[in-house]
Amino acid sequence: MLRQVVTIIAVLGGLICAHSTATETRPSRQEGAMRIPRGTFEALYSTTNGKNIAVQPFAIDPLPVSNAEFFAFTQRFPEWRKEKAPQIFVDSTYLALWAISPLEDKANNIATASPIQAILDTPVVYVSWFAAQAFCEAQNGRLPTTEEWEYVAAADERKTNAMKEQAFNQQILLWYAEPASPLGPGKIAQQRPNIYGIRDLHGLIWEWTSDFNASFATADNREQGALSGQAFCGAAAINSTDKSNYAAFMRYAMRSSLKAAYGLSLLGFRCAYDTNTTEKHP
Amino acid sequence: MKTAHVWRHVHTIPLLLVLLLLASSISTFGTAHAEDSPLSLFRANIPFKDDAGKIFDMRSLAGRPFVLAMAYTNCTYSCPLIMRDMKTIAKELSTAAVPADILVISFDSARDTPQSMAKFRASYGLQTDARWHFLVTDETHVRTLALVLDVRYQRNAETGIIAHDNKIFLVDPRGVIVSTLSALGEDRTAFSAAAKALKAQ
Repeated sequence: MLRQVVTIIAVLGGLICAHSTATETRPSRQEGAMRIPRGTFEALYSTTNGKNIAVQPFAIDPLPVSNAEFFAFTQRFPEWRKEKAPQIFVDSTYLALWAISPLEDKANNIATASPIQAILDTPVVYVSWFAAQAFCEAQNGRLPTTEEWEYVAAADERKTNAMKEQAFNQQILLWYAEPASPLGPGKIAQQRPNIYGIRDLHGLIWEWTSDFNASFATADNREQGALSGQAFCGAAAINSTDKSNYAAFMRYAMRSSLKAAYGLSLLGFRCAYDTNTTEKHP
Repeated sequence: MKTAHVWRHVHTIPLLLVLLLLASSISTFGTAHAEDSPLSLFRANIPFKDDAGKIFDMRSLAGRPFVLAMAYTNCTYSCPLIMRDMKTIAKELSTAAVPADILVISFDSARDTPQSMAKFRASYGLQTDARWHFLVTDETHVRTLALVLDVRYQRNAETGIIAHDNKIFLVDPRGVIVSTLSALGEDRTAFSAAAKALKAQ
């Protein structure tokens, strides 16, 4: 029975991706992305001395990438399978929730780890930045920048900037305080979308951004290890524009502690797209 | 949900398999060669251009060691110091008869071009030194390389100045980093010893 289930999962995984590239009935991931209009944004850390930064129009996935979607990707690009991805791009935790299935065929050497059915609709976690970036590139996309991510994550159901709303921040902080489940994150799309139609930015997982490690403060570095040491604790914290925004502060702190090959139990991703190649409106 | 949708297409499986095979040949990082170490920089498969505008494949260096640093030509603070250290290292390596190439890779995908890199090369009097390679690539691959190397950088949106780590890497003939200088003017004893050990291999 389990064998059958896993076989079906494997076949489905392969087909979902092939399906989206080979037919027009199902929109591609990029076509399903939400367009975000140009705007300005008071980033917690900015290189513009506290002035608002302009965010150019872009598009972003309404949902994080699921285990089913990431499995389809690893079928298409075998170098990103759990067994194959090289150490330079992933650490030993890569896809830790996936297991070698009874699909394993020793004679043909096609053993491959896959997500069990219960986690197909949950966000993929234990993925490195490199794996996430490769997934997005395969969809003609990229990872969102930290500024793009924070810009859409500042919105609630009614406002594009809810960062000053106490209830909004409180809810995010409550989630940050919750212990992580050993079973991994819960299902995708259980929360209401924000005003842009985007879900699960808070309360489910943390997400990779393209420039996750770029929140240091000083120009030019001549001191030994200066950037690694002061990236967050010293000068950068003084540059923080909004000290009441503790939730954003937590996210910058978390990101600055990452290395690109890391995998973590609650760290997943979604993709963004340049809008000169995405002409559809949501 | 998706199931019925997908099963309607079962009859197209052979065609899909062909498409899958085609798709997998254009993967982001390419398919690594069988002999590559899991830690080899060659796996990153970055599309560089050199300062003559020609495509440069890092894999063409396989079989001999090289020294690598990231810099950019509009950089007036630490980059001249990186270049000073790189030139000293290059000189030491040739004195010790270590056959190493020297790679200078730009952080600045927005402004650096093969032309600006050629000027940069000339400003250090290296026009005729074929061991030196001055390389550019696009923003995504600058980011990828910097993350592989664990070199942090950030562009100031207003001034265009790029804050960055100053690291110099010694890479063995398989593309694996064997020694790193993490700061300018750092003691080079271990770095030099590692370089000489590569010659003995």
